[in-house]
Amino acid sequence: MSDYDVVVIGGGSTGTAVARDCQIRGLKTLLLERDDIASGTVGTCAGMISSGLKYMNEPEIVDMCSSEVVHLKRIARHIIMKNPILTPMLEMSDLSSGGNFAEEYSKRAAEREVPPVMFLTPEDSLKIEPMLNPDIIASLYFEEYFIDPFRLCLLQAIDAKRRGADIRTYCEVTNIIVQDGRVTGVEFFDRLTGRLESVSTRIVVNATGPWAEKVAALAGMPLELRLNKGAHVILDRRVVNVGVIAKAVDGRMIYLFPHENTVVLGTTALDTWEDPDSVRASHDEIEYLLKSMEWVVPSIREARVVRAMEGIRPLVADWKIPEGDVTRGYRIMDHAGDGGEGMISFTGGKLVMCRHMAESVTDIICEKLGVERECRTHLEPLPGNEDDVDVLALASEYGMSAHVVERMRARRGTEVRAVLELTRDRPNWKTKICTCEPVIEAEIRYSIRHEFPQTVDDLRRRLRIGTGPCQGTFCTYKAAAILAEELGLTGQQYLHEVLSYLAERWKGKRPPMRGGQLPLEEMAQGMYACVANLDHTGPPRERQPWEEV
Amino acid sequence: MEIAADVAVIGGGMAGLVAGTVASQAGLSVVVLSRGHGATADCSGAIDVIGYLPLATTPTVSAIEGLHLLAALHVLHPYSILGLERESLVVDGDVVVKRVQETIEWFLSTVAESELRHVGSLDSTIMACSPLGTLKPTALLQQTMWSDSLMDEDNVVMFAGIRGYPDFHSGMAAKTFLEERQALREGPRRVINCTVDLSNLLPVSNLSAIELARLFDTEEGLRHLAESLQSHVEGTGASHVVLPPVLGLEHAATARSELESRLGAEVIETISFPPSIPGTRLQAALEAALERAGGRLLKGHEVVGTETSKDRVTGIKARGPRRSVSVTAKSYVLATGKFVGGGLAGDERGLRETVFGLQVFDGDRMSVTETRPQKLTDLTWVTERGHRLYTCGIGVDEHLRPVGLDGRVYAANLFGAGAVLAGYNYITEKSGLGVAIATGHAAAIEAVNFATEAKS
Repeated sequence: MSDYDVVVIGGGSTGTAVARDCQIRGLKTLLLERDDIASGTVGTCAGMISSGLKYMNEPEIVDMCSSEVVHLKRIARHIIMKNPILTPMLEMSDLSSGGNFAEEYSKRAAEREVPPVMFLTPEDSLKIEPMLNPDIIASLYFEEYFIDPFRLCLLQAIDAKRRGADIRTYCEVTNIIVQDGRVTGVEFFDRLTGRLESVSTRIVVNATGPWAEKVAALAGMPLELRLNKGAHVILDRRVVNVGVIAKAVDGRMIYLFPHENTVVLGTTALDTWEDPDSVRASHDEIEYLLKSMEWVVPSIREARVVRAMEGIRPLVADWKIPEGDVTRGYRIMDHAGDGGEGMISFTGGKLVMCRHMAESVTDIICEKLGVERECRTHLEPLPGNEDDVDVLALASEYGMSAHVVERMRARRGTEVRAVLELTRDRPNWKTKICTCEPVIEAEIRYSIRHEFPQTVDDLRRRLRIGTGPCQGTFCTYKAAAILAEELGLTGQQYLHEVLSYLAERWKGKRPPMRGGQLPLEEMAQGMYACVANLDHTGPPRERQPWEEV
Repeated sequence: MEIAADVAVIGGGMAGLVAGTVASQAGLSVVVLSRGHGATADCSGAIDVIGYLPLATTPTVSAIEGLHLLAALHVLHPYSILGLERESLVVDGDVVVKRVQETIEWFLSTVAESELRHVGSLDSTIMACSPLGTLKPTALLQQTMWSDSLMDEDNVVMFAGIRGYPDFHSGMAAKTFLEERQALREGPRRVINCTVDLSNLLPVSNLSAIELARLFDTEEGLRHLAESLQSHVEGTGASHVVLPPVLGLEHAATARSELESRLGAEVIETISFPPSIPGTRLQAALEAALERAGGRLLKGHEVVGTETSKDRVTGIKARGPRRSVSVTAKSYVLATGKFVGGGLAGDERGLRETVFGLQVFDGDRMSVTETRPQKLTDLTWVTERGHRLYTCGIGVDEHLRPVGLDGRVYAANLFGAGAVLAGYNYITEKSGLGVAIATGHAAAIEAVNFATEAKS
């Protein structure tokens, strides 16, 4: 008898979706994540659950994307928002390519509850988004859905956990045991306790994105990926209030999406052989994006560039074609033929497909294990999506600003009430700790108690603290103190948390730093290095991979 | 509007206000132009002189020792420039120490006239307690931030927070403070914490430093604080109470003694993060000093244009909230600060000085006008070495006159002071306000001499 039916390695969008599907179908499931939920590739995406229009030449993928959007809207509407998107055109030649796209998009628009593509005059375009370059000759209008990618992963993990799965973050797999051509177990290092552990299992799912080659190699299995890196630039304000898609300097399409209180500008696509743990956005990528978007949104450089993030796409290994021609579909590699029965790896895929990928792999697992259960992940709501939330009523009931409650609702749906309930006994927990977002103390406490964060960076993924215009300058020490109190950390561990989180923010702040970011950065250094003297009295910190030259 | 003055000072932080006050006290007509509230208003309340030498891991024993070592090792440090012999390029450490000492004494007596008193001296480095419970070396502290006996072994030190005020977590501050003491085998063995409730007088959540400071400026607010602390002090036998730095804007020193006598324990404030009440006190004291000396302060006036002819600055134009101002003066002091102050700016092309477009150097006098900011920083956010970016600024000669790449003076009547100067990293050295005072004072003397010669 094995400890588990399935061990899923990787806590990104795919891994958490697989764990959820397996557990719903009654398989005893363990998810192992080396860092935190959503700390890899998915944490660097723009959050668009794309209708797939970028892949018009792969119609079956467009169909899949479109129906996945419908499913996600059903199970996770509380963390989904719809953004109008304009594709302004500056030249006549742009118009012709728009026609095909409009047709493909419009075919599937009704099921997603969006209007068909519209062609707009410059006047109508500028009415919708006055920040566009007035010299445009027309624009396409359509709508896409966006999801909070961190919450999606976390909610999938929490849902699996509530249904009995074991979710272990900060557990790095060190060995996958294969005996007689069959996977039998997994050994892993628990980074929190410092202990090596070992479990037996019948199935291992390798959902580790760009690390999939490395993890497959632990079982001695061959796997090939085409790694491709992409950068996003984050600006401090909503330069535009609708999404804008435009042609980049090299003719690729790039986008500018309003995202929470910021805008996200992306993305680049460069084949890479870098270590996924050490990638940082490069100067060239940042300038490429700014220069490209400047043509259609001329005011873009007036905003403050707060950070740039870099992520790695684990593409299917199709070689000798441009990155843009590589399939956006996914492949499931059953390693049975390689002498690793029970070991399954993913390559390729997109955020919007994560549930579908999980369904496919769980079907295979069920067949292998002789289990007959239908997939239900497209039907069962994720936590918080059980009902509507009356934000105004809650705000007045608990004496909170509607803004604070609405921001919280967009993370938690129905769970908002449980958070606000904490403020009955502790009204001081209504205090905003992160004022940029804003996030109140009660939600931080709630998250620490129910969502297993270990670090301030984990809290960022759960609550968006430190992601706004000040990038954690004013909230890091406050949030870290609450975390330290709740987890019973020592003073040195507390200071370590403060420094680690600010170092993590620095990874993104440093590459684009310029303009209005310089005073803010000096302020942050002044506080933590000068006033608190952490440059001399701070606890020792291990350099992270991306801090190495 | 047109203004004529003997000395025009650009920048209303520590360096600018010191310069303006010194020049006014010398009997000259002075106008100080200030873009915003001055970065000094965001300062911690500690007056750092030299807490660490560059690359050093242990604090200076005294600022005097630090200044001597700087003079010997770092010729281009702004302090060293105060003792620089032009011909020999040797720095006379005694001259540096004497000049810094005199200016610090001048500063202390000047702000004391504005009812802001400090403790400490250049004779020994003292340790200030930060809001995180860590200590940092400094030279002077606002009187309310210091107790001679804080580190006695038998003390019971109690960190006291305020419910609903998120900027100070008394529990974690107490922990870091105690752990550091234990690791160094020094100081009090009992460190505790409490949180007081002021919900009778203020909202129970989202309290700000300024609300608290205003409350403690009132008798009722202070009494309430004392009463709330009383039971904690009595219950624990606390000998010292460490509070966040919010003991009033107007009369913190009186508030503190009042608390001490009611509680029977010593009371100190920590130094401050921004938004800073101690910084606001200091800024107000400096502005009052300028006013007493007869100087004129134009707040909200950003310099947007300059005029030069031959080797002189002949005028500057400033934009105020509702008007433009042209200022002509005999000499000019540039005290615009670094990035927070607005004296330096940078983009993907490189760094620039914002008012005159002066040459910008790093600490080793290499040009950084074509170096993008990222390249002036380390991959690790906090290190003892610090980021090169914060050593950048304008280069000056021994008269504090800005110079170009060729070493030539930009204008005979322009003098630089404070954080706009290159050659030191106030963040790692803990030297910010000390440099601002010393160079602000020295630049004023240069400006006064020039203006007086021009008069006669």
